[in-house]
Amino acid sequence: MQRFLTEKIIRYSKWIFLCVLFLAFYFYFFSFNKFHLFYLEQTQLFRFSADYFQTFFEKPGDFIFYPGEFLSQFFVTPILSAGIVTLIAGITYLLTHLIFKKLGISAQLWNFIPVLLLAALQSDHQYKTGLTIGIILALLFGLIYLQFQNNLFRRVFGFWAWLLLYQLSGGLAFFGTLLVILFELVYFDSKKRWINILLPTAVSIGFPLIAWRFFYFITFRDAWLYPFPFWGASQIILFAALPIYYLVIISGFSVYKKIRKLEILEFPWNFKTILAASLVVIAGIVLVKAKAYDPKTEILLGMDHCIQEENWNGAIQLSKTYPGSNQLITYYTNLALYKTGQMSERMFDFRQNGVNGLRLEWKRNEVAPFFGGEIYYHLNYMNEAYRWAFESMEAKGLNPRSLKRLVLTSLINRHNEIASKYLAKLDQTLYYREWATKYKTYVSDTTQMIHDTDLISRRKLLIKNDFISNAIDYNLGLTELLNEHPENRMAFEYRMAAFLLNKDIAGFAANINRLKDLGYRHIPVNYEEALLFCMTYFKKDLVPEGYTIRPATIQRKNDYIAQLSKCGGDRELAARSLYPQFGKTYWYYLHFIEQSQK
Amino acid sequence: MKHFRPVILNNRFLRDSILLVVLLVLSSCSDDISRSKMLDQNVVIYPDYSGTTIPCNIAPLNFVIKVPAEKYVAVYLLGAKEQFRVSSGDGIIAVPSGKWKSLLKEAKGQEFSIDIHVKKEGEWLKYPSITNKISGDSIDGYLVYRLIDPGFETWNKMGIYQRNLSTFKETPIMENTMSDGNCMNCHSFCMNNNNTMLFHMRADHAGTYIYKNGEIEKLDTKTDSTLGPGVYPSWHPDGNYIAFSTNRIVQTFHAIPDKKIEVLDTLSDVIVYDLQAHSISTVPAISSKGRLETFPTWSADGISLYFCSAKSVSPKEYKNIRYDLLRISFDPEKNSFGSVDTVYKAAEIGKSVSFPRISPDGKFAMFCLSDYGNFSIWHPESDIYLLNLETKEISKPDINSEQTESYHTWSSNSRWLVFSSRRLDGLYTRPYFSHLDKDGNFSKPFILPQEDPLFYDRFLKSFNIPELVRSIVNLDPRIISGELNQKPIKVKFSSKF
Repeated sequence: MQRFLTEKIIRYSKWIFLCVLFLAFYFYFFSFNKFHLFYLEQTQLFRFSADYFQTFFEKPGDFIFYPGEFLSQFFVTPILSAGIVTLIAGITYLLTHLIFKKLGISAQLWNFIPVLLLAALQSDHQYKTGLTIGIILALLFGLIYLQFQNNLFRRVFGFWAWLLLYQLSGGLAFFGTLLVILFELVYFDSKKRWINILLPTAVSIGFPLIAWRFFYFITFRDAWLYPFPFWGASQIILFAALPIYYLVIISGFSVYKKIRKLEILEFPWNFKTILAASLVVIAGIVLVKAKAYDPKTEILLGMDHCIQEENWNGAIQLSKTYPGSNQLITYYTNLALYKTGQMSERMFDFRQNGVNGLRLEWKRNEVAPFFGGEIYYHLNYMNEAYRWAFESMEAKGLNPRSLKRLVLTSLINRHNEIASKYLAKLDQTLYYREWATKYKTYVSDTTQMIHDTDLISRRKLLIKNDFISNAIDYNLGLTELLNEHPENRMAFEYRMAAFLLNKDIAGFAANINRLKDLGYRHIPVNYEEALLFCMTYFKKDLVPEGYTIRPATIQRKNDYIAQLSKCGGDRELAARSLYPQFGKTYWYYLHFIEQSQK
Repeated sequence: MKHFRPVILNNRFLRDSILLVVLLVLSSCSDDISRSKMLDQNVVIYPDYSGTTIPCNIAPLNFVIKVPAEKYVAVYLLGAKEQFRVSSGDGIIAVPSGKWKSLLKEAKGQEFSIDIHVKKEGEWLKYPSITNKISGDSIDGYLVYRLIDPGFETWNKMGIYQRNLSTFKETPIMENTMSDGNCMNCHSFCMNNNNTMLFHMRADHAGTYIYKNGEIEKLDTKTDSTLGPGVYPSWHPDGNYIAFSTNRIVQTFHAIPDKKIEVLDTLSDVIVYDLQAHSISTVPAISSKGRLETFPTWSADGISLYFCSAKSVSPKEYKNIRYDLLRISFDPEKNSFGSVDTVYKAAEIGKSVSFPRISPDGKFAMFCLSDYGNFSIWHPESDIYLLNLETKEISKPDINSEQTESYHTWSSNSRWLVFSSRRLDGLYTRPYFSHLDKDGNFSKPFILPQEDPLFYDRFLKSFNIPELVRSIVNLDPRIISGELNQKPIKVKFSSKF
């Protein structure tokens, strides 16, 4: 059997093994993480501008985010996003391979472990690609350092290159320092190795101190730790595992080599090692998928993507796949249902949890304004749409979504000078320049806008009679929007939905007569169900003139009552037995679903 | 040993040839514009630095010529004599600092003109000259402002910066990147003195930071007997007292396009802080229950405190909150207040006063008038008014625009005014300067010059609270951040008054 593995076959099989691994890596990001990566693109704005470039030199460690954001701009396309992430992982693999090779460690599997760690890190939708760039720069620094056999060259290079590394990658430069110390200890055989160790140690300790004291306006903590801490504690541990891995492997194998007096530590390529490596890699992939990958967030971000693309049916389909309850999912589902004309027909086909499912409450954080402003734009509540977009831009920094929304709301509000400011930023991008060019024509020649039916129709729904909203007692302003524009169908349906979700049947009954004015051909199913309940409750006919309730709905109500009465007064039993047949009716919601907030 | 030198430097013929070519190019340029065809219409330059008066110590007024053309030349003249010229391929006229300084020196107290020539389709055209006056009155050396996003509730990066008005150099006094991203506001100086400053920090590291005599003191100005911490400050001219307003503030949001935010006080009083005693005092006349008192400002002689006062009504009736300008006498020796008189009854004419500031020579009071409320920056109708304290005459200087004019500061010589305006785009606040001549006339305002004249088009922050100070403030974020963890001095409430 062993004879079968000739050198040529081994060489090919190594390449095949590697290709399979990276194809799996690519596939993982292309299939499972495309919305994670798309979201990342939506939270930053790479611009081809000197002003923008300069901002990456404000403090040590900022620079790595420049190439990171450059690459992230391509995450709009899943093929490219998965390709870029794979390319970065490939570079990491290559650097790892070259460093290990130089140190006399030849083992494909060990080179691949950092790639698995990167897969786990990049599975988090908040992980910035720039951080991997920082790791790559530190590895590159280490690799070049290894090339110098001469002590003086190493010292000179180590000193200047470390200063550069610190400027570019901040606290990640300490990884470079540790690599250098380790290389001196385990690789270079110099009598003056202590000088070579002390020098980078002194520079690493001293220069951040000097930088903090004289060069930058940064905090003492940032002088050492930036870009840490970047987000949640668990991810920091995962991120820290990456440099620690190199230090452990290099020191461990080097000690082993010395004990065994080996020149090169080479793991043979045979069926046993192939099998072991495959098992380790598969276990790693399973671990990444099980522990680092968050499928619920991927669905949520997928819905967000669909909403941005106005792919309303896509959003509804994704909503169906979401396990459990989530306010953002319900909020987006309801929006998509309205946009596809289904909100009043089958809102209760989907999990509803009170009026909170119609909007996100205001919070001063990164999430609420970013996702929550969508509803105001579609409701034609332009000032609020502008405000939430602005707040989102404040919380997240310049990002294409907020800027586009600021442009549109400003144009609709006839604030062309403001729109042109935001358009100028989008005009500096690769992917949004074309979009900006279109809207710039509206600024330079205001008559051009009359051809834009969407913006013009929104302008017609602008508010002229002022009212006040505030962050404490917050609502969607539906009453005021409808008072000024009774033809605002979305405001009407959201208001009716709010009545239904709040179980405010009196409010619902008081507004049902607006159906005719808004051009409804028939009473939507959810309204029929609510009406039947209202008529029983108020003991009067509330069906608007010219409309009837469909016999099927009446029959369904009769069936519901019959089955309900069979359960006697046992509420739990009734909830269980009615759910399969009536779980998607308003009656079921009315009787058995607790609202989260009135 | 003969040293090697580049051939180009050894070759005298080549060097002279290059010189000749340069001279020919320059002379041909000169010849070209001397034959320029005169145009009737005025040239559009941005920012608009035409027909204005500028201080004799201002940075170069760089601008861009808003005319599509192949080449541009701006010729600076004093009388008929050319001082220098600036050529451009893209319309940006960036004046060299040295030449600009010479011009300011030469033309001090006089007018100078700029001839704009543009080359279109091979032909040079000349626009009517732009004329500006260089005032003999210098302006204070530095402008201090806060750079913030004109946002609603969330903020990101902000800081207080100082700009050398003779150059383009801007340095930070404090940035919130050094203080855990908190909010900071209300920087204020005593009579334009760069060595006496205060500002507040909110959230983390909360307190009022007072910089005086080279030392920083951190205060907790909230007491059980006052509404809250001190907010809008005003230094007494002798530097021993600071009047603060203390406010309960509510923020709401409008629904119509031309209004965005409403910031209103549900309660507010004026209090006075004694720097030596670390105590706060007030009297009913400036902290009455039925009225809202805010925006205190001392008279130049320190014997009166001006403030805004409105009848307190329900926040729902915010459109009926209108502030008058009042004044109360003050005896700095005895630390006591006297009687109150109403200086301007704005509410009677359906207007509301905010941000009163008294000129250092004591002759004028300048304030904002808006339709209601006190947070004038979000009121597009807000304009600046001038009250002559000697003649009691109120005038609306011709420095206002269709958009908001708001916070303003006098220079220490009372000849210059800097004020906030949103005239460029209706949202982002920019600092404008205007000169007040001896007859009480204001010159056409001009915007704070920037090295890149297109700076304001792309800069997405507001210049908030522009304050003129005589010289550089010897503070930076490193110094201030060193005081962040200082335990604040708890200010006492004293019923001395």
